[in-house]
Amino acid sequence: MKKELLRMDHVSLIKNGETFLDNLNFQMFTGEIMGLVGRNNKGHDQLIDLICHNHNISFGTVWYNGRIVNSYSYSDNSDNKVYVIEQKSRLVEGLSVVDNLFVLRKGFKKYFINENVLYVQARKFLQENEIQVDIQKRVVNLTPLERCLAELSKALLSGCRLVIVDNPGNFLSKYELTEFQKMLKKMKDKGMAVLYIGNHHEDVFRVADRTSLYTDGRIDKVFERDEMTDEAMAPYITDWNIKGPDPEPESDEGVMHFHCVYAGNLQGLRFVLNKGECVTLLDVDNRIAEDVAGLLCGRLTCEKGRITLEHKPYTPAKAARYLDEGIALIPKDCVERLLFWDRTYMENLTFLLDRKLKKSLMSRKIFRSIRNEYEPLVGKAIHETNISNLQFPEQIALVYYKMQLLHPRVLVCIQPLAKGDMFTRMKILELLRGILSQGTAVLIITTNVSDTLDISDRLLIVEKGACTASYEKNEFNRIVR
Amino acid sequence: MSRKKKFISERLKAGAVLGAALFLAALGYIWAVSFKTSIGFLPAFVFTLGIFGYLCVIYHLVFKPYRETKKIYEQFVMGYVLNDLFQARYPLTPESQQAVQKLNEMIDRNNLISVSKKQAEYLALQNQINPHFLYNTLEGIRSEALIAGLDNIAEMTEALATFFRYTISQVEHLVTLEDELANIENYYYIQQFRFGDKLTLSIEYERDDDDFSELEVLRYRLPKLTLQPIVENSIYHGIERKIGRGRLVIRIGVSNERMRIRISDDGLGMSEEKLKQLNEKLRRLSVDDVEEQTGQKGGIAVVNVNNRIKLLFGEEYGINVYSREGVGTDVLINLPLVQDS
Repeated sequence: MKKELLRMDHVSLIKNGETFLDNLNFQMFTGEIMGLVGRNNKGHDQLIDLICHNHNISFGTVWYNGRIVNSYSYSDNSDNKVYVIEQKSRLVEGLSVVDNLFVLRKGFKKYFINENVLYVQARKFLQENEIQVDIQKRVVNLTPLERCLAELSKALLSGCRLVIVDNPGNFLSKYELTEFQKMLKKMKDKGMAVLYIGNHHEDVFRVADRTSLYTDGRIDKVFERDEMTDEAMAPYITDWNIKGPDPEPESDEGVMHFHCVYAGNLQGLRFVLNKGECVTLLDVDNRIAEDVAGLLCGRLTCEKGRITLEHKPYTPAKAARYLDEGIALIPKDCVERLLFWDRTYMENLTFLLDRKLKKSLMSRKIFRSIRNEYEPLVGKAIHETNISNLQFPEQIALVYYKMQLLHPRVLVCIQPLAKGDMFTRMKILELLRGILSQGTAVLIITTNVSDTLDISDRLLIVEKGACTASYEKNEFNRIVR
Repeated sequence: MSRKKKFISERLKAGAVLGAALFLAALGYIWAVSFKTSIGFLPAFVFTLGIFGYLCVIYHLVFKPYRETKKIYEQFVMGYVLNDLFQARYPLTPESQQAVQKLNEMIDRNNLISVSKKQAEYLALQNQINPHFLYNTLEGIRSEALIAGLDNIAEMTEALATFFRYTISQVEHLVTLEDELANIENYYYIQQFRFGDKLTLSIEYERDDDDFSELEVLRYRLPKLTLQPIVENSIYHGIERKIGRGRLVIRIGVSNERMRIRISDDGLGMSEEKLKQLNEKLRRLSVDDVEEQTGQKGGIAVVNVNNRIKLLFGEEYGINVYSREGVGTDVLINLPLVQDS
């Protein structure tokens, strides 16, 4: 008979008048993978925190392993035996895997450590659980998959019966994700419960036994195993899946060419990007994004091959002033890297516009004109003097509006949909469509194609630094997302 | 006297603030004396340590338990809890504890459950009908139909008589799941004469474990008329007004502590606002709902069943509703595993 491991009963969490969890009902059993797909991210962090720690809640009760661990009347701030695997590693990077597994474990009290004994124990433990990690490697040298497996081992060793996996698609490549999901299924068979959080329901459905759809801190629907289909999910995502017409590529001439480029992890990468076209590079091994960005921004030079922009060589000298050449780049953590927190919304929006206008000072008339143009789109946020007060989707939108204003020839987006909930992703896709309709060529480099295909004209699969397959838009239905 | 000042808790708070101020003043005085005279800092240090130790003890032994009890009172006033009030770990005084226990005795739960069950019967029948008169009449119709060779009418009448007999005549609170499902199948049979193949019903079991036994699951008990009002709601509010066919699915799952029954329909669903209001009602155990809303129909059936479950088994059990307009509604019932009536 199924054993209930976690139960959150009518849990509400209200802080400073804001409701993060709203009458949330949620339960998990041992030996199951429960999927959690967020339509938005509100309450996401608080939910994870409440599963891990018994902090104060406003209403409701939390049961863990058959006993009440937290309730509205009494919270002892104790910890539940739960491990979270997320983008940020919880291992000590400078130490080896075996040290992380054994030496840094709670309750390890030995003053003198016999390394041989540790290695023997670690190997035996990993073999028993069919986990393949080089235990002598330092954590800093591990691949993302190895790091996740090491963390999973640590969870097992610490006696955690529940593991929360938070959006692994954001930091694992497609191949790594499949392997990791296989391992999670093995752990499930051994009785571990896994809460698998993902923004893409396709990813979650592939691995989960049940899936809860989550919005604004409450559960909208629980999909049982036989209900986890795109058709069943479709009515819940129609709100944000409404899309405008896809802008057609303007010409086949090609704005940018990669001619058999070798640099870093790139091993003969070749592709062409046309004006107004959106091309998605599916980075299967999760290793080319930094190199492509480095080449375009002048941090890296071609060892072999060449890049041309508008049929002219894109030299390192040009790459050094890439913005003037009409190349713009939106990195994965764009909000942190492209926004200035001590500047107003308008100052952020118009930053670098002076270079484009080739004026050292921008006139107030232009400034006002931009404000009037963007106010209907942005709303009151345009008058914000402290952009940290903005919601995350508004901050993301600011980055894309900024790019729209710069009107580059080529816009490179690295994992644009990795962060943010479903609504934010919808907004990003809408903004990218706007940029494409201006005639800008958009290159998306991602490890997960699920939603980007909605706006892409072509999909190129990149493995080991080179294109291995290419799909036109009418062939996308052949791809298993 | 202001409204706030009449409460003893407020006076105690004022006393505590005054006491804290006096302590601080004494502390300041002792440190000042220590600086000015040659007695040294040890007495001041010991006194400070003593005061902080004392405050620590007060915080853990008085303030925290007081805050816990206060929260329980607040939640009781809002209607979210009932049993917690009677099981509070830290009563304010022995007399307040006795008063609360007296209140517990005064709440006649059996009466509440009976009122609630009657309401379910009322909702099921939509009228006050004399059962014996009804059975006799139905039996008469059935006999006439059989004599005339109208088998369909005879079967329908028999189904109706069985339904009424179960609904009105069985007086016990808890029935087996098997009986409840039989009543649902009977009710569905009657509804089929009206809806034909527009309505389909299926009953499914979660067979995740190797040791799953359908027979064992069917022996678990639940309050009588738990499922029928919800199925009726799903048909009338979800499927009846829907264009095209409607599907009702009852899915039963059992874990080590609970039985979960989900009744899903692919009908009209409900708006987000309405859903929120309904779930808010379902969170509370409201005695008022049982007594006052007898004249209403619709969502009251779900609220009523929820109240009955909470009264019988405690606040941790009950109903949650998930719904989306145009997609359908899932009503999830959580019950304890009960095998003896």
